Parts: sequence; C-alpha cells; structure tokens
Amino acid sequence: MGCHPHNAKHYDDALELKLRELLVDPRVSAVGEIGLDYHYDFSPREDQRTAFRRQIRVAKEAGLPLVLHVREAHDDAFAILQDEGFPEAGTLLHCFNLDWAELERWVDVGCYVAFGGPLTFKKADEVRDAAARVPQDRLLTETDAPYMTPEPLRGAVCGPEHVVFTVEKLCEVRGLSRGEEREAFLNALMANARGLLDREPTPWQREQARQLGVEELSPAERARAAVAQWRAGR
Amino acid sequence: MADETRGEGREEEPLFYDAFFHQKRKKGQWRIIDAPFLEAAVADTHAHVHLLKDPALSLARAGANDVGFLCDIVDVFEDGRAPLDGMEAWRLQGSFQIRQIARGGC
Repeated sequence: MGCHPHNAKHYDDALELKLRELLVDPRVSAVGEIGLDYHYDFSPREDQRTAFRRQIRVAKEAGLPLVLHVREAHDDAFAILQDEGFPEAGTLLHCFNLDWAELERWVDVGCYVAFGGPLTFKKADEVRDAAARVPQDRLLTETDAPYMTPEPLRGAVCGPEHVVFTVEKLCEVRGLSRGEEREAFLNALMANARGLLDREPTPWQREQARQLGVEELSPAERARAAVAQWRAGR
Repeated sequence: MADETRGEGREEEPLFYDAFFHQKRKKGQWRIIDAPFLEAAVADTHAHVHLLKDPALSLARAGANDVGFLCDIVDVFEDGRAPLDGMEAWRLQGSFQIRQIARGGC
C-alpha cells in the first residue's frame, strides 16, 4: 500500500492519513510502490521527491519494508534513501530492468531485487547479466500484472501465473537446470519472498489497531465475512 | 505499476477458464503453449490483481500453476481500500474455481 510517484501531486496530509489508516490492516506487509518516475513525470519532480520522503518516514515508523518504483531517477532515489536511511524492515527494488552497474550499489546496501517480465525480453541481456550477479538471498520474482507480460506471451494481458516464465528464465541465467539444485534455488526464492512480505503485524500495526478499536479477525472470521460479501454481490 | 503495456486494446482479451497459457496470434487467434516445468512453488511479489478483469479467476489460475505466494500492490490514491475489501471474497471464489479449472474448465 502506498502512493505511486505518478500520483505524488495528490499526496497531502489527508492522503497520508488515509495511508496510515490502511497500513493498520494486518494484511498490509509493505509501503509501496513508492519512489520516483522521471520518465513519465506525471507528477512534478519536487512533488515526487516530497511524497517519497514522507512515505519512507511512514514506513520506518510503521516498521514495514519499502517497495520501490524507480525509473530514470536512480541517483535521486538512492540519495534520498541514504539521507533518510534505509528501513530496517527491508527495501525491495521492483521490476528491475537496468544493468549491474546500476544495481550493484543497491545490492551493496542490502536491497532485495525483484525481476519480472523484462528479464525475458529479447533485448535485455544487461538485465539477465545483473540477475546472474545478485546474491541469492536478495532475489525475488514478480509480474507487475496486468503489465510487463513475459516472453513468450507478450501481447497478452499479464496475470500472476505468468511469473513461472520469469522464474524459468531466472533459473536459466543462474545456470540452473532441472534437478535438486534448482529445487533448492526455488525454495530459497520463496523463502526470500515470505521472509520479506509474509509477515506478522508489526508492533506499530498492532498498537494502531488497538487505538482505533479495530479487532483483528481470525482466518475463520475473514472467511465467513467473505462468504457473506460474495453472496451479497451475486 | 508500469505503463509500457497499457493501451493495446487488451480489454477485448477473453477470459480463459482453465489453467493453460494462451499465446496471442494474429487475427484474434490464441494458441496454448507449454508451461515451464518447475520443481517447487514460486512467488509473485508484485501484482495488481485488483486491476485484472476477474481477480478471483486470476488467483485460481495462479494457484493452478503453483504460484504459492502473491502480493497485491495497491495505490492509496487510485485504489483506496477497495482491494482490501474485495480480497477475501476473491480468494474464496478463487478457491472454488481452482478446483474447476484443474478439472479442465467450468
């Protein structure tokens, strides 16, 4: 949950309050995608930088990791994060599509790196080279569905199931063929994902929920509520 | 939220009530292609499932293809709390649909 840099011009006190309220939900596991996008510049750059800084502070207060969207703005984004401090809960660089020369400094400070469809694109050797160099314990996979459909399905709407093509390519660039070694690698990728994002509510989330008088629902209660909602919608 | 693949007329794409992968061909034709064989479940750490035409079906298709973990990315300005409100129902519907599509369609 976060305010995308495209929408940074709308990030004001009211939207931040709304963000804080939504972060209390125990299913929310990160603040993002947030960051800077100087390619489209849908929001003024100063607004993007301000919203980015403010959300980094919210994430650190909440004890949640960051999910970053950075496009043609890596120097500014890195400088802001160095200035604000990388959150202890972790930082995830989403949909990485550049080379190792850019990626190395992010890895050096302990960021997770998620590879998606671009890893499979025909003219993306530099991305594959970068993916081959990332330490295994920092690697993640993603789709960015409904965007960034991987090969060989480009031209179709991307769904989360398409991640299997990206994973297969990642295994290939890491020199892993079928067998136990590849299975261990896949299990490590899953452990990375769950370790970063499949988390218990943070102390901040629990305390905010308590202050708001929001009771945490058990899985059974959530299922019952879902059934009722589903029936109401039919 | 990337932008490269927006606006390609994809709203016309059919929904596939199965677990297969469909490759777009010319003249509105679709071809089923083989899924990669992988030894273990995989994770999609960044998807905007709530933006898909049928989120429950998308969850079912993901589950049928051994996507064992999925993180939905929500924008506080564009989406608000709607995806949080809808997610449990999508998961429930998806859990029904996964059985159907695993049997070859519904």
